[in-house]
Amino acid sequence: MGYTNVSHYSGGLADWSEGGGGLQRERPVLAPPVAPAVPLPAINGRLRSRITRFFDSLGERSVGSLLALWLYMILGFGILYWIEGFVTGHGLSSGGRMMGGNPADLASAIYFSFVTALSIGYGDVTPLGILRVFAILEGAAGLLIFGVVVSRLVGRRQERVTEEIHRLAFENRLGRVRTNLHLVLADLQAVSDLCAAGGANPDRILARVESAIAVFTGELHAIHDLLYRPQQIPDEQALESILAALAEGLRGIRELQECSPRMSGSASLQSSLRSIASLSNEICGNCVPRDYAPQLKTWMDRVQELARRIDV
Amino acid sequence: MSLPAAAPSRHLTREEVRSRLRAGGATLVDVRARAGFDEGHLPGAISLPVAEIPGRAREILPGPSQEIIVYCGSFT
Repeated sequence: MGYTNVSHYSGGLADWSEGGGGLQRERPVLAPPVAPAVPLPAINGRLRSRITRFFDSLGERSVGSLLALWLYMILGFGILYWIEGFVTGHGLSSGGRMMGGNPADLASAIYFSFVTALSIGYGDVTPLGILRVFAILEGAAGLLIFGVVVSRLVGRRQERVTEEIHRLAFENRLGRVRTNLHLVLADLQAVSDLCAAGGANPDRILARVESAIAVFTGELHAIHDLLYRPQQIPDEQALESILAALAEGLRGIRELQECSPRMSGSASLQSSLRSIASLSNEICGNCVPRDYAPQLKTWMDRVQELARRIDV
Repeated sequence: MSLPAAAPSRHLTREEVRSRLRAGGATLVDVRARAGFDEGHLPGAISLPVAEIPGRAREILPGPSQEIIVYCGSFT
């Protein structure tokens, strides 16, 4: 076509980025829209958080603990009604008669407390003055707690089924990680042999190494997840075999680096290696949130140490 | 990847590219697909995907004697 003064920048975009060169974009990157801050009602922040934490904890408690809480509440309110009665002389009224401080009246106060909490409200004993406020609060609290109790009883069977599903999914994932790791190990070993023997096409090797290491990184990610977010506790033997395979894989990658310096030219490979380094850095006996058996901790430390020998 | 239009006479390193751009007079041509170009290209580069070279080269590129530097994604 007549162009005589043409040169070729062989490194291309990859080489330019590695050299720290900036890139231009055609499409401007849209900044995410910022939601305007919604002003919250001016209740004291700490009080609010304590209230919400209490309500959340209600949902977590067992049926037994909820019933116990309910009983304590009723007794507490009952005593309150009784005390208020003889302190102020203007407490509960039973058929027109004011309640005093004797033990029989304590029994009536507790009776009133039960009747209110269960939302029965016979009306043979009625509250006066400030006790009316407490009585209403007690009614609401009683309803709330009972609602939670009923829903917990109903949800029990559902909870059992869900737990079983989680357990199955977890074991499935564990098994898959194990299998994939061993496949990757076999592939890395094969490539290492090719590399050591010499004479193989470097581009083909590179592609194979890239894909094996990408899979390895994915499984390392899954293992990191398993250790940091354990919905279930992994079987110790399975975990140990996985950690051992991980260590083997990291050793294999290091050997490959020594055998094939071309690996440093691939951007996707370098990115995988960086992920491997940062994930492995968080796998050590004392880093993970759960306290595992000593031999597992030793394996984790070994993984961390082997990863540190890899060049990134 | 082979360029159908012209056989490049030289292969440049990153530093050579930088110095030629700084000296001025060179045109950087990105021969990747348009999508790749949009996501990120070397500063000052123009987009001329390989398939379009025969059709659009004359209108986009400067004169035949001007200096042109082509690049794509990575090592070819």
